[in-house]
Formats: sequence, C-alpha cells, structure tokens
Amino acid sequence: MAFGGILRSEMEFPELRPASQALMADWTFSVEQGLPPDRAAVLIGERAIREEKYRLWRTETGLQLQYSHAGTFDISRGGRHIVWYQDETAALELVRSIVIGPALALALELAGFFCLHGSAVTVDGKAISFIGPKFYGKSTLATALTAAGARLVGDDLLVVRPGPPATLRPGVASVRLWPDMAATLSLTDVCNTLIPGVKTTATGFTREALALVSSPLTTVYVLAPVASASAAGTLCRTRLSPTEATIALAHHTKLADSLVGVEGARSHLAMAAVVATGVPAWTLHIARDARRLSEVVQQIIQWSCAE
Amino acid sequence: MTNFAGVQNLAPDTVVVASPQQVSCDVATEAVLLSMRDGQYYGLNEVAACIWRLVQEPRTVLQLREALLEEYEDIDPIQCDRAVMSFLEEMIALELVERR
Repeated sequence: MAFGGILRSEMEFPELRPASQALMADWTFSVEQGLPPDRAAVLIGERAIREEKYRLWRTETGLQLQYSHAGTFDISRGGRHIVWYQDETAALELVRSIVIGPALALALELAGFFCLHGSAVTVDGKAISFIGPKFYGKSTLATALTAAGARLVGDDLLVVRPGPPATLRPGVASVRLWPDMAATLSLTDVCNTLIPGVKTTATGFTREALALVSSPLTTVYVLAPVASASAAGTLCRTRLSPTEATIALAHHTKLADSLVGVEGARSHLAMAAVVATGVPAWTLHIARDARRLSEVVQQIIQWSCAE
Repeated sequence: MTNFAGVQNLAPDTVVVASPQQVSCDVATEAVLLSMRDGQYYGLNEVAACIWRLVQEPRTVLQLREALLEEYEDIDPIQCDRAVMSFLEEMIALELVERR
C-alpha cells in the first residue's frame, strides 16, 4: 500500500505495507527484459543531476521516463500500469525508489494530485507538511515529531489532493536520516545501515506511529535553517502571503518543471495556487541544533493544537 | 499626452505581449509567473498582475496605460505611467514580455 492506493508488483517492495490480495490494485508494476518497444515519442522535458540524466517522453500509450542509470519506465493506461525495461546494472533499491518516487508521482499527477517533495506528520488528525531543499532537516523534523507522538505521513513524496479543502494522502512509512540524527532520536534499531556520512533509511515504525488515512492539510512549513546562535532563537515562524506560498509550493514539487515541461509546470502552478489559497503557509526559521530539537517539536505541536 | 521620456525604446505605439516561454497563474488579485527559460518564479502585486493579464494579448503601451486607468479610477496618470513602464522594462529584461 502506498499513497492511499495499492501497488501490485512482481518485484518485492519492502518499503511498503502489504495489502490483501483480494483488494483491487490502483497501479501495477512489472519488469520486462530488453529495450522498450520502438514507438513514436515526443520529448516533454529533461533534467540532469551531475552525471545522471532523466528524460520524459510522451508516447502513443502514455509517458516514458528514461534514466541514464536505471533504464526506462513506461507509464500507461492513464498512469495505472508501470513497466520497467530492465537495466541489469541498476541497483534494485534505486529502481524501487524511482517507482515509489517519480513514476508514481507522474501517475498520481495524471489523476489530478499535486506531488510535493517534503515530509509530513499529523497531529490530532491534522497534517503538517515540511518543504525545503535537501539537507534542510525535513526528515529529521518529521521523525522527531513522530517520536513525540505525531503520526508519520511520509518522507520524500507528499501526495496532496488540492481541494479545497486540501488533503494529504498517507505516504511511504520510511524516513531517510543521517546516522547521527538517527542516534539522537533513538532510532538506530530501525535503521538498515549506519554508515557515517551516508543517509540511512529508518523503517519499522509501529502502526500507531503512522497516518494510515488521508488527512486535512492544515499547515505548510517552508524550512529556513538558521545558525543556533542566531538572534532568531530556536524557532520562529513568519506567515507567507498566498502569492509567496504559491511560489514556495511550486518550487518544491517532486517532479521538476524542466522534466514535466510547459504543460506540467502550468498544472503545478495552478495546483500550488489552490493549496496556497486554502492552507496557511509559514517560513519556519529553525535552529540547526539537535540539542534543541525537543523544544522545536513541542512548539510545533503547540501551534498545531492552537489552530 | 504623457511623456514617456526615460524609458528606452518603448514608445506609446510599441506593441508588447507575454513571451511563450513562461507559465503563470492568478492568486486572488495577484499572480505568479514561472520563466521556463531559467526556472525562476516571480510574484506580481495587484497592479502588475493586472498589466500581466492585459499583455496576454498583443497591446500597445498606450492601450495598457488606458486600460489600467480605466481599471483603477483613482490612480494618478503619472503613477500609472510609471507602473506600466517599470513593469514592462523589468519583464522585457527578464524576457517574459516581448516587443512586436
């Protein structure tokens, strides 16, 4: 189960909670040997990160996501069917992360969802999301809140039904953390590897620690870390105008605008505006200091309860 | 007739239009633009958003000025000219508006 739906796959996904075989699948995932069929295709967009290149094509059957380092993913039947044309050199962990990341994000966007790159929890059934660039502490904050009694919605891909009212679907119950932070949060026993300098994946959250149903999205925080000695103190927040919030949300979509092209970017912007108009968004100025994390968590919970 | 002095190469009869290399959306009375050329986002206040909506179709600078004066009856004509010109100068520099 993932993102409020069921993925039926011939490849095992240890990241996902199992679902009953009797339930109907929302998406299917299969693996094919060899190259994808030679079809007419139009390039929608592309993106490069260091040596790695990503390209998105429109084909007569749907979309095709091409990775220079992991093979090709065909997304057809309105996003309900994903086929990976196997690249034997690709690490399976990477392939799984593409399926439950960009590939399902494309499928969900075809179904009208807004896909953000961030982390989220619920407090008393209300979803709070954290967005921001990599290394800004989104996962740490979501995990620390979960350890303090909130429920984890997900990490990395957040699936929003723009509404109004905006709702957040449950995500994947794993969080990627730096080993020192996993130790600070007493999560080392649920982490799969603890290599210094390499992020580890924390899984094994109890059912009670997870948000298993869609929740109203009531707050968006845009993270802005500050040095712990800053005059801003441990934590403060500044309300964003709907225009500022639209820009922040559109800037943190899971799928880059350069990849999804003009039409995809237009759709992102329109959905960001709907969410920003209905959901309060704040810049969260937060001290980069693990010793003060519990203060931060208590303040965020207090704000959430007061709203 | 308003004096457009100080604005380089933008005459009252210059035709301007939004570039195709962008996407935008309204946010209440304001607007957000995304330049597809460099991935930068821009927030527009109410007056700028009004001019932006007008340049979705090719219009002369003079037509923009008149439309804005009609929309905001209490705006000072000199302020109106400044708003139109500073918006167009910036948008042309950013390649979000083109001259025809």
